[in-house]
Amino acid sequence: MWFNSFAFLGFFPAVLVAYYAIPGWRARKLLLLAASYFFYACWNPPFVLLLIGSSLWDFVVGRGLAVAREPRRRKLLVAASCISNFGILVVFKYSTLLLTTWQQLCRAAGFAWPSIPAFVSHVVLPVGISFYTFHGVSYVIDVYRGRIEAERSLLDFMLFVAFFPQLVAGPILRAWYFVPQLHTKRENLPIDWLRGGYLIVLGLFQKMALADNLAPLANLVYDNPGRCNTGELWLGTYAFAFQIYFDFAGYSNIAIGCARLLGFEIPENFRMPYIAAGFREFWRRWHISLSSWLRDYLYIPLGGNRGGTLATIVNLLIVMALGGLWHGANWTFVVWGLLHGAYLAAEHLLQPLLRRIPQSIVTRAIGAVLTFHLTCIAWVFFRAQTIGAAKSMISEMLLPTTLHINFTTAATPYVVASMIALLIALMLKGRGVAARVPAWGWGAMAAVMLFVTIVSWGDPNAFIYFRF
Amino acid sequence: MPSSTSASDRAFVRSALAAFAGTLVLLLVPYESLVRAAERRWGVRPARIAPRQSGTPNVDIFLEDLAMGINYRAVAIGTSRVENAIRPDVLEPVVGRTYNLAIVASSSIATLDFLDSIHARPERLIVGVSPMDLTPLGVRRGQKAIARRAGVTASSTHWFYALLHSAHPDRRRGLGKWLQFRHDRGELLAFLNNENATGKPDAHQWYGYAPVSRVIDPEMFANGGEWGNIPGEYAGGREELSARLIDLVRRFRARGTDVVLVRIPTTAATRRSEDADTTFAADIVRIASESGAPYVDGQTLLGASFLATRANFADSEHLNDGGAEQFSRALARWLSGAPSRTSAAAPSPGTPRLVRASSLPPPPASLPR
Repeated sequence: MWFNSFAFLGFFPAVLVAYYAIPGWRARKLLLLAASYFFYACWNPPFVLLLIGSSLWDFVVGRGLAVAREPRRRKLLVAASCISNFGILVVFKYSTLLLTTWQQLCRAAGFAWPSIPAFVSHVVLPVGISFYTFHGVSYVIDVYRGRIEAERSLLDFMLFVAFFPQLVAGPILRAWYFVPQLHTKRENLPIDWLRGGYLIVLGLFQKMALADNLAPLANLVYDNPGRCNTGELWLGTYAFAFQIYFDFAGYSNIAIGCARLLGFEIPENFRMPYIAAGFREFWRRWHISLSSWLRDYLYIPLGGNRGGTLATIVNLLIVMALGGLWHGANWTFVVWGLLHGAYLAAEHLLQPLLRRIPQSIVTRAIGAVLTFHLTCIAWVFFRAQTIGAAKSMISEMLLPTTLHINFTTAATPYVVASMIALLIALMLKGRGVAARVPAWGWGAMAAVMLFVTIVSWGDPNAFIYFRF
Repeated sequence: MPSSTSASDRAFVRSALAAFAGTLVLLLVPYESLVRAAERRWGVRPARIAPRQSGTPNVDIFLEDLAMGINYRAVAIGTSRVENAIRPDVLEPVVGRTYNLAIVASSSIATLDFLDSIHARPERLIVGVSPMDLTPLGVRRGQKAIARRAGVTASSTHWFYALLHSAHPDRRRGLGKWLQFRHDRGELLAFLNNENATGKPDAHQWYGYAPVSRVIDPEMFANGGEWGNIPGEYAGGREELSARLIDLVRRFRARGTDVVLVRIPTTAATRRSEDADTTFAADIVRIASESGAPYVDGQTLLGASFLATRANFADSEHLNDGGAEQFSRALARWLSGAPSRTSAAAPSPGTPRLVRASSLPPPPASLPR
């Protein structure tokens, strides 16, 4: 069930009405849990069992940590959780990639390796598996570190993992942030209803009116990269850069809005990432829940920036490569991650130089334009089918042949409009414009967005991050 | 959205909600009114103006319309000659809601079989006859085109779309489409009804009618075009297919449908070739006589001056839009004077009865161009 489907249009109001019609808090949570499993089962019912099993296991490990005092035993429990969660990920998501790569390596080394069993390629990737396994791992590590107490209520823990607005595509929730909200009855103020509704409208607008209208152009170019010249490749890549942003930010906003209407807070996941002047800033604005997860549970445990320049660079590359792999079982994602790791490493190395540049709107704009274009080059690896195809595209993009665009699509104006919006956002950044918008301005904006969504929605596509 | 203190919360919420509702009504109501106005003018289904992606999108639309409960009082069938010559909007004031169900290069026999199979019972059937009707090749082509298309069923109409017609997937008008509309300087209502309506007319079908704007070159006008293997096919299938056509026409007539056989005008050179290479001229008179259906020859209907005017033809076989309009008006006049199925007497074959143009009801607003 997608957020932009008619099924959800019936499902969510029904849940909302039933939720507020029930007086008891525990009964409300039971309803939400049942609704969450129903929401997930709409995609593939048997995989609900995997979700329940994974959640139960992490709950048991958490309880085990609560009573275990011996450090070795505690470490074993954490290891058990990590192995089970990442094991599920490897089996369902990475088995084909790993076996294929192993087979290729063996062949390259001259060893015979039996062909991969057919059933491996038929393994279905459970929707949202990358998200809920990260929920479980972060919970267990936080309990281990003593940041939170092990949850006593099985219902609350199961609901934390399965809470339907964020179940299949995030944002990635942390137990310390969300579970306490389950301990007290949630009540909404009128302003919360307004905020929730606004975020849902904004998310639908981003997804249906923007991302889905940009998709045909990105698909056109990336399905036929060999036929496109420099100008067309850049246009298609811009289209994809905006498509994936609006797609994922749209999903996150709908998730946050739905949670808000149910009385819950979910942290924001995007803060206009393309106005970032630098990659550290970019990753503080792009998929914030993932980047902060990687920082807290991977980068810092690896040593972060405490081990000198070389160690910092190595850590950055490891973290970003794994972050890339998290997105999908393809080496293109790893290269995408490594490229971002390299950008971050270069920025780290150039920090002394960059600090000397005076801050002004011009230098900031130059930084943002540069960051955006380097991000676009990385997106080529993210979107291309193979590394070879991405390399050919990038060489064509960087060594221009012709900039003439030979095709016209209805999506092209969306790229131009997105660029203009980006420039305006850059100019208005830090001026507190949002705080000065009056109430009627927010209402009118929401109405315009809803109207545009109704009359100009693009071809419906699944949210891109559903497949991760 | 800025955070608000609880004291100002209520005022903030009230103001925002009022602005939201007001703006939405201000935007949606006029837009929805325009969409409904477009639908009143051209019908509920935007696909009535369909881009010609294949030879038979008109079959798709016809089936969808039937599934939607839209019944056409008159249906025109035949080859591409009919597709380019019979304008439903011109016939409509005389014979009621009309659909042009022509199928390129196919025999009317295949289309009659198809209509029979789906139990379509229009009040009037305008069968555009040509030598292609009596060729096995034409029957095979028609059957193939229909078989490919007949599986298409109408998409269900969701309540949401019924409530908000502007939200229907076929009504989506993205930024790019609006810019294209501005570039084409199209008509707003036509654009809202179908995004393709403001593009090149040659690429569209309106109620199955496919307008063609080009004019035949002088040489082809004088000498005619390629005739291909049609004479051989005709000779081989003529006997059997004549009997089938007669049988089908009789069957439709027996069920209460007025069937009219119409020979669409071609250039004089093409007509000469057809009459020289086939026995169609005599055969069609016999078919009309044995089936009991009136027959009208377009050449006779329009007169010599029409045939002598090159500007009326797109090529040696097909009328262009201007020629189609004249022919359709003449046919409408003839049909308005023709007896109904309840009438005992049928007009003599080849002797169409003309009525005064002034006695006809005014034509509808022209279709979008």
